[in-house]
Order: sequence, then C-alpha cells, then structure tokens
Amino acid sequence: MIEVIYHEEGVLDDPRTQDILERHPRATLIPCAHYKDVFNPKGQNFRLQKERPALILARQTGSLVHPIPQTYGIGGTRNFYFSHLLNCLYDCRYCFLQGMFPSAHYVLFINYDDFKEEIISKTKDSEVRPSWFFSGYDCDSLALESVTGFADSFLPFFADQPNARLELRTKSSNVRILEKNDPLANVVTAFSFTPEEISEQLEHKVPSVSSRIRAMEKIARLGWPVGLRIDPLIDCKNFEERYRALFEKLFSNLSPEAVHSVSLGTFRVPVSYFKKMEKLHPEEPLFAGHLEKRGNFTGYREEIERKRSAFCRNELLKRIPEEKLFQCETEESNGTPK
Amino acid sequence: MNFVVALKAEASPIIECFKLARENANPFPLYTNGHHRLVLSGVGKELSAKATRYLGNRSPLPNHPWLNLGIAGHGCLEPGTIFVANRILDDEGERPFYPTPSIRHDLESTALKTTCAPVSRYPEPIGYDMEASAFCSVASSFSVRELIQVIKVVSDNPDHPIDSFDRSSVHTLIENAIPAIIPLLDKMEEHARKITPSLELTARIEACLSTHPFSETQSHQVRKLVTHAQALNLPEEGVLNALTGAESAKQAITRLGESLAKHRKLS
Repeated sequence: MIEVIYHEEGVLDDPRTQDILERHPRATLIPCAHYKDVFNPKGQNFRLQKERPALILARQTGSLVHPIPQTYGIGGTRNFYFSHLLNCLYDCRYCFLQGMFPSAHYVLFINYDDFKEEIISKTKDSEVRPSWFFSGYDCDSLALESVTGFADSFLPFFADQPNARLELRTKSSNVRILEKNDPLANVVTAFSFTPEEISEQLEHKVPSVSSRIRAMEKIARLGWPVGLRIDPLIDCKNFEERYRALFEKLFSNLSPEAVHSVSLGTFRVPVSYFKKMEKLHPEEPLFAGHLEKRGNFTGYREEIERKRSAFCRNELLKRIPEEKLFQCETEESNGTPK
Repeated sequence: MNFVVALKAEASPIIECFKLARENANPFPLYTNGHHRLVLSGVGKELSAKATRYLGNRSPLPNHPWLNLGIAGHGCLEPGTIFVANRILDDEGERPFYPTPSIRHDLESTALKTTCAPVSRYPEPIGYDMEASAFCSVASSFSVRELIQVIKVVSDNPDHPIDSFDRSSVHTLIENAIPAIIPLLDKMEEHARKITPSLELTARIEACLSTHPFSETQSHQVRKLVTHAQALNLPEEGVLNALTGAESAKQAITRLGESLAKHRKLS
C-alpha cells in the first residue's frame, strides 16, 4: 500500500499523476523539485526503506531506451531495455537493485508517451529485423500494475507495433491485465523462478511458486506467449532434485507451443553492489555461499556455476528444443536481472 | 536515542519523562540516562548545528536515532497539534531535506521551513522553526536518514500569532505531546536495532579475534568468516575450536575457512 507520494512539481498536473493521486486519496503528498532530491541522497538505508517505500512520481528525461548486451537476448538481434519504474514491490535477497540504488522508494516515470516515441524510433531504425524491448530490468513489469497502469497503457501500443517485441518480466501472479486484453504474439510475459524451497528463503513478499505457475498457465491457455526465466541459479542443498522438480512443475501443464523462450542466468552481481547487499543483510546465508570475486563481479565459483548451469541446461533440453533455450551472460551488464 | 532541543522549557518534559540527569558538559548542557541523550542547543541554526555535532562527537555510535523536538509556528494547524516534518526547507537556500517516511504514525505530517528569525506571518500552510534544517544537515553525518526525524508542536498560527504566545505554556505543550510521540520513538529504536550488528555477533567476533595476534587484514578476514559462520547458523564452539587449535593466525584463518566450506550451501 502506498502511503506517501512524492511528486516532482512539474508532473502534478499530468493526467497520469492525477489518476494515481485519485486512486490514493489518503496518501501524504510531498512535492520535490527533482526526483533525485529524494532518491539520490547519501546515507539512506535500503533495508529500512524497503519496509515502507514511498512512491515518487517524476518525468524521465534524456535517453529513455538503452541497448542491452548481446548475450542477454532471447533470439532477437536488436535488444533494448527501458525503465518506466525503478525498484520493485518484492524483496529478493539476490536482487542487484538493493546494491545499485541508494533508495528503495519506487520511482515511476509518468511520461509514457516519451518512452513510446523512442520505442517507435528505435523500431524504425530497422524495418527488417524486429526490435526487442525489455521492461523488467530495474523493476518487476507487472507487480505494481494497479499503481502504474503500465501494461494497460503499453499493450495497446505494442499491438500497433508489429515489428517491436516486448518482454514483461515478472514474479507477480496478478495477470488480470493480460486476461482482459487479447493475446499479442509480440508480447512475451516472462516469469522468473527458483525452486520453492529457495523462493521461500530468498524471495520475500513474492507470490508462491505454485501461484505463479497457475498464473502462467492461465495466460498461456489464453494464447499469450510465455517465457521462463530460471534466473538466478542458486546453489543449494539437493540442487539437482529441487531444480528437476521445479522444471517438472513448470512444464507439466504448459503447452510447448505456448513457451516462447527459456533462459538460464547465473547469480552474478557487480562487486560494489554485492558489498552493499552484504552490508545490508550480514545475516543472510546466501552471501555466505561459495562465492568469489571474478573481474568486476561476485558470483559462485566458476566450477559450481558451470556444473549447475550444465545440469539445468540438460534438464531443460529434455523439455524444450534448443532454439528456445538461452543462456544469459552478465559480463557487461548490471547484474542478475529481476 | 539522541534529542536536540532548543529551549530548556521544551526539554524539561523529556528530561522528566526519561529521568535524564545533567552531565558535566561544555559548551552545551547535556542530559543523559545511559540510553537517551539530550543536548540543549539554544535558539537558531548555528547553535543547533553546533550542538548536534557536539552530541554526535561525544557519543559517536553509528546508526542511532536522532530527534529534533520543539515548538513551531504553522500556517494552518491549530496550537497544540503535533506534526512530523516530511520536508525541511531552509530560508537561506540550503537543499531541502526529506526525512524518510519509514515509520507509520498517526500524527500530522507537513513541511517545515527553518528561518533565521522568528516568523510573525505565515505565508504557506507549513511549519516554521529556527533549527531543523541545521539539525538535519549535521545529524545526517552521524546516522542514516531513516533515523533522523523532526517533530514539532504547534505554538502559534495566523489566528494565534507569536506575539500573543504565552511562553510559560511551552512546557505543557511538549508534556502533552509526549504520549503521542513515544510510539514513534520506540519505532525509531526498533529500526536502529535492525541495522545494528547483533551483540551476539559482535561478542563472537571479539572472542575470535582474541585467539591470535591477527594483522589488520587477517582481522578483516576473521570478521568476515565469523559473520558467515553466524549466517550459516554454526555453533560458536566449533568456530572457536577451529581458531584455538591452530598454531598461528594464518593457520587459524585457513582452518576456520575449511570448517565453513562444507556448510556454505543454502539449505
């Protein structure tokens, strides 16, 4: 529940702002000149803020759509991400956002039309090859839908952009917005999973694995392409047994045609982010795992990473064709995606 | 919990409530009870900044809650109303300070402007005081922003201007406000505990560090390993045994690392 809303003075009259304020009549409103005045100051504690994050309404300026590393794609060659929202409703211990952002407040950039214009512009740069746009790098694409109306606004937009592809990446089980829209072949809803025992330990405030699987099956039946993101892989006791059981559950009621892609990602976080994460949660067993610093990243020891990835890859290839399986490498990126 | 308060009349209800005793301190009067500390700053930004720094340097414990409490004028709230400042402005152009709203409370929440001179007119529906911006600016060098709050009790407003304010009522205004403020103080203390390393862990680390003459780098390694051991829920005895059985500091670290290795998988 949003109880405090900061807003840049310049966005107060925007219809989207007004709509959000109308839906939160009891929230305390606090104006600010620029969202960074609230979001960026040093000396904030992400862990404490996460208990009661505020919403900051702002206008994003400058470049809004950015290229992503080639190794992050799911089959496309022109890949971009954009962040209409910073931060996430959920509180996953492995999430790099807590190391990257100084604040846990949600920043919602309300100028959706500017994002759309830039998406159109990037799409037009190549009329032959489709352009992929990833919306869940700095947030969960669907978890705050009731506040942001993001999918409500962008699904009709992508319906008119046949050469553009959208990935909604989520851990939400609330897929009502997809249920009430006709399925779009160019929009993939990608659900991230770890085995249930890991999810219970690390994915705080996240709906259960079962409820997310049910949500995924529901929209798949409606004709929406779905993606599976086994990301990040978490080293744990009974790893093989747990991941095999997860894969069995994921695919047991899912038609192979509905699966657009499956990706595997390792747990790798930039060293500076990891230090902050460790400091925020020194009691967290995840951070006491077999981790090492490799280049600018902290992740599992290479042999563990290789062995775990290979096992999952083999298991997944029993269920999907190779062309649908992607390995996400993080060398040039910010870290483990949502 | 650190209190920075301008006037003795504002401070005395807190001193009474927490049974604070005056310490022999200069240049600012200081009252403590071991857990709570209150410094009497005097009126104005400069004194508030100096008193806050004085208190911070005197008890340099990281991540303690800090509260600036006192009376303030307000553009629309009734006298006696308690409010938590949610945006602290400064009439000399200091950057606004946004205390993090991480604590749920039932009190009013409004902006507060810190001015150099008393305000007799109230141009905006916000609070007016003479210390908060300086307090926040200095307190944020001693603690995280979530633990720095400003609470004021309205003493004057357009219908009850400052000229007609009876200064002898300050004590009563603050005294009446204390029961409503205490739950918020408790929450601040609770938050502070959440981000303070546990006493158990600190004691474990100290015990481990005393087993060998560790160098600075080795001490850092021991701290990390003991923290991991605690995170992995390993009994203290096993950790200490790994260290004490070693012949050198270097061997102790190797042994401790080895004893942790088989437990490092998430359950």
